[in-house]
Amino acid sequence: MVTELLDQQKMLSLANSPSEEALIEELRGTPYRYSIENLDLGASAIDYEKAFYNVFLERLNKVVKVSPQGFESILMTYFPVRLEIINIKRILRGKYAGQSREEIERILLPVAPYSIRNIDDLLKADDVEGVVNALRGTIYATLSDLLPFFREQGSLWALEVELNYIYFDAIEAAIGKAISKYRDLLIKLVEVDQSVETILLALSIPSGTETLGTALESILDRSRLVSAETFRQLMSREDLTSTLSRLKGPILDILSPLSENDSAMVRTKLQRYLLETVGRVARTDAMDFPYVLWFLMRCEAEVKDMARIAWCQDQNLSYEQFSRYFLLL
Amino acid sequence: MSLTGIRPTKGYLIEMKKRIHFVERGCEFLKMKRDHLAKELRESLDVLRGQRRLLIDRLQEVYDLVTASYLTLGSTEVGSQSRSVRKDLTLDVLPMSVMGVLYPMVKITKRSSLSVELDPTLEQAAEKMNEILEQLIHLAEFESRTERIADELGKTNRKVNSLEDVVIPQYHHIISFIEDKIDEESLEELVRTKLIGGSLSRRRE
Repeated sequence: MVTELLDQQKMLSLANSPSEEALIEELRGTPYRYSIENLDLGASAIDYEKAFYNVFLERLNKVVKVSPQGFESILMTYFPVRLEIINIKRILRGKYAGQSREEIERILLPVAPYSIRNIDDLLKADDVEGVVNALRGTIYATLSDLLPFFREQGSLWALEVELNYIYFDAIEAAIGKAISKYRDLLIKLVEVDQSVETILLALSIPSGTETLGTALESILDRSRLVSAETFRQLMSREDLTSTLSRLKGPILDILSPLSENDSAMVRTKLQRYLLETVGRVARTDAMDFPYVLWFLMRCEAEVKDMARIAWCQDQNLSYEQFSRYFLLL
Repeated sequence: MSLTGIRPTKGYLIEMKKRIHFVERGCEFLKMKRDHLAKELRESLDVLRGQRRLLIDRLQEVYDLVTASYLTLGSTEVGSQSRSVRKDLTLDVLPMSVMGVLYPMVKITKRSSLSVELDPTLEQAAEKMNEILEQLIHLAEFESRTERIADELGKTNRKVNSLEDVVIPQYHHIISFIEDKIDEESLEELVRTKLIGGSLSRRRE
């Protein structure tokens, strides 16, 4: 299956396709050929992204099928639950903005329901509260505790932070059940990922919200690597550089582009850090869990880069201009 | 212009002279309008060029941020986040006039606010876009005004040219035709009077 991964040469050749027709032609010689069969010429970047994700999900399912039981629960939590949470966030945003069911469905990733019973129940809900209520009885049930907060604030950030925590709690639970050998590695990945995501979310919360007090702290206090106080300072956006300089470990490096106001680069650096950290451990044993995890992370990075190539093609942009945001090029 | 149907009478000549006076005054007014519109257009074009350059630079900044968002978040995520912004911008379009040229004036009655949490890069792009949205609307309004002034200037110019090159010369032609005719008739009358006077004086002798 590793041989199915596109090498850098092939990725470059795809990125340098002079037109959409040429890109499609190039893709015909890759494992992505079946995923683009149903796409018409002139399909949007959203259609391409969803088609590429189908390839990733197929690979994930193949890997999970042949994985030992301990690996399976972690892998299914690490990948499908994250994608499911992304979809839940999109449904919440759609309901918040009063979008139609079709509009919301259009931007959902093609992942099958994992922790929820049926995505239809969420799409059928009238509003945000309806979606949260439809999630009762699932791992997302704690969202309903934040409904008063949502009503008071009229914004979704508390629900989104909670979804991030639910994801990381689910991974921790899956790790606890399974492998102890790589527990530290997984915890490290989860902590860094969770902290950076929450910091980025904190930066997007409207300033002035930091005066909310205990309700806010109870949400932010659950972060491992970043204190609630730091979150407050980030949300107030006062002296961002000195607040960031007080952070420690890999987070400091990952967040360093923030001092140059390049928050987009933070996500790229986070993805690279996660991929490289797992890659380093994976190199020691090609048959163990880190290698499987690295393979799937590499697959996802490839899919994301393919979606970037499709978007650059859609916008008639040269990838070289924005190559710093690519993970594998 | 055909000269048929023209009555070579003094009354008609006076009428024609009144008309040409009226037409020439109209032409003068149109020339004044043309000059004013040309001045307005020149000034508008200068402002338009400056504003466009400024806006294009700022739009490029926004586009770079949007590109960075698309490349780091993906099209579906950007789609989800950007569509979650409530559309609360409301505008009134009112008719305004300069030298009789109607153009739309856009009045922002409710500004849009970013009440939803976006990714920091996307938020930066949205904030910048929100900042220049008002300028963009005013630029569109100004462009429309400039286009209409240019249209009107073209029309006025054609009217002035047609009056100066066709209508007024024709009137002058008619007037000089009538004057010639009247002079001719006066001369004939004079000759006839002289002849009659001569024959009467010969008869008296």
